[in-house]
Amino acid sequence: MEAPVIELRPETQDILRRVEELTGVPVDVAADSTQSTLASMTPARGGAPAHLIRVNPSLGEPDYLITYQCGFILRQYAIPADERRDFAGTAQGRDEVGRLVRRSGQLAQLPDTAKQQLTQQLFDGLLTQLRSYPIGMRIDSWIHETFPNLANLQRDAIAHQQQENQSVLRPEIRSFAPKPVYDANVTMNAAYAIFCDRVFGKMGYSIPFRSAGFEKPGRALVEILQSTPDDPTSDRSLVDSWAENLGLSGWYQWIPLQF
Amino acid sequence: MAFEIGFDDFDLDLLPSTARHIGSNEFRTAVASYYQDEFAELGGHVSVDFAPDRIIVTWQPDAMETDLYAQAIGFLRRGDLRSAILPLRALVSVEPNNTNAHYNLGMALSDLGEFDTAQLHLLKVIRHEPENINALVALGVALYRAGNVTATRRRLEQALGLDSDNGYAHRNLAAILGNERQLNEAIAHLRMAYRVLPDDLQTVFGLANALDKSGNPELEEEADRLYIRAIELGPETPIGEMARQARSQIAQRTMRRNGSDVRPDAVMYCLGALQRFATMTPQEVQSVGYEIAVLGERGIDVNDSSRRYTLNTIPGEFSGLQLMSLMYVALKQVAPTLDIGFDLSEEYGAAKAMFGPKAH
Repeated sequence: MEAPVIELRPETQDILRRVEELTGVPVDVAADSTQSTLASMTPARGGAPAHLIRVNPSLGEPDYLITYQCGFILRQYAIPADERRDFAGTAQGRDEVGRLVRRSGQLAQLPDTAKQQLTQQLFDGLLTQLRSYPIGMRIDSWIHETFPNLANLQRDAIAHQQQENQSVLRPEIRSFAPKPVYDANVTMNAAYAIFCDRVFGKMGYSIPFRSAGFEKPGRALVEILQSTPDDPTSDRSLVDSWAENLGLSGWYQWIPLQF
Repeated sequence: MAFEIGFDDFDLDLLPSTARHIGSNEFRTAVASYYQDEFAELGGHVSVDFAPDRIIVTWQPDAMETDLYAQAIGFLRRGDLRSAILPLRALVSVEPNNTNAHYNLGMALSDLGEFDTAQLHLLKVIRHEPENINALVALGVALYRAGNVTATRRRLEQALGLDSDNGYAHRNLAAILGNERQLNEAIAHLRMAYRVLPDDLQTVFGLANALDKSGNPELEEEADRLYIRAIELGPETPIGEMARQARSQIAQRTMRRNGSDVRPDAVMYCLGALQRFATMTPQEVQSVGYEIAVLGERGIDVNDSSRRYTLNTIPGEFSGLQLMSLMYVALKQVAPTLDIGFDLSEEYGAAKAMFGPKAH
């Protein structure tokens, strides 16, 4: 059986070439019909021969998502090499989540091994969100301003993400995270909703979060975003400011980046 | 857009002081009014409903109703049932007599396990269009999934009364008869379905499987030919894989493992879980797994199939073994290294093989 052909738009191909030129590592784009998401990217680390992009073409056009993922690499490489950093969780942060899980009503009833697994998932999920959301908003603004041809794909992807973020407000989802972790997660979701309403025109994304009392904390994060310089060299400071606002300082550390 | 928010999570500061008693009529009126005002600036149509513990809000921006329907069909074609439900719900709230929307919404809800609500929508279609055979068949399926065999037969026979050549009615009636161990009658209906739908994968496989199960060696060759045809029709589908396995069993019947090695009911429960979770977000799957884990601490009886359990995270009633299968599959997806103290590894492996390449 022939592998499905992935047709990318010219602007997407340009972005991939830029990534290859900047990093000196080729980008391998291939179809993967088993993938549940439209596109995923694994940057080359530790001497790996290529950045991997996997696309499920049956789910739609991947151009916006590929451009979005490349945006993170391009922003990293806009920083001097000796200042580039990766992001890793700390034992302190993990222990804090574990403590919260053990003290959290329903969750405290889980078997110990399940508590440990849940702790790791909540911790990893929150840090991934902290690492990607504020910088991701920069990238979304860049795509919105620079690639008008991707507007429809961007709008659809954002709508899908917003719907997923809103689902966290359901009571049965809410009950499976300790309140501080839940609040941090939803505050970042609220910030993203407010940001999207402002940048892309009012779509009502912030209404669910406003009605749940998260508008004010979400807006605070957006104001941090707006008051921090857009330059990639300020991305670490942006993440640190969000973390401080959310009470997550000390849960992560910046480590040297190795591509 | 559609979202749900618990009564306790709504910011009461947004409501007049006289409407802050949670759950009261004043509260509900004020909440509905709040969302109407919030969305008013955006235009479109907003609906606010209340469940016992939550507020359900649906909003659709100004768009032609055909956009909603097209949107829903797009999701359905991609197999994204949960996303399809949102525009369909919005559409039926705007157009209560839209039978196409009710039909597709009923089918999607039935596939997602919300059988009672599915039946309501399908009944609406039938009230408006009593001779809508597809809706009768879909209603029969939803009734069967909800455990109402008598009503199922009535609806499917009603469909066949209108069109004796309706392959889908024959196929679904055959499935019920097969499960009720009326295999000869099931085979008769499947033959009728196959005559009308010779290229329908489920019909072809269903007939092969019924002939195979009959235990009649004279029918084994015909069953095998039909399994081959099923593989041709759906080489990469779960049914195709089931057909391959069935062919292998026909060929190696004397070497088939005894029932104590693999529990076939647990295999099917795991397969059902994989199919269900494919339509859910990772957080939703996680919630299911951990809710059952908490329940498990109080004890789940996997040996008494008459004991039924319910969950907050997904609708329906479940046996203990079904719950453990759901939990096993859920935690395999979100916490694969976790040892839950209950081994369904072989059943899970068999289910994954049936489910196909999407399995985690």
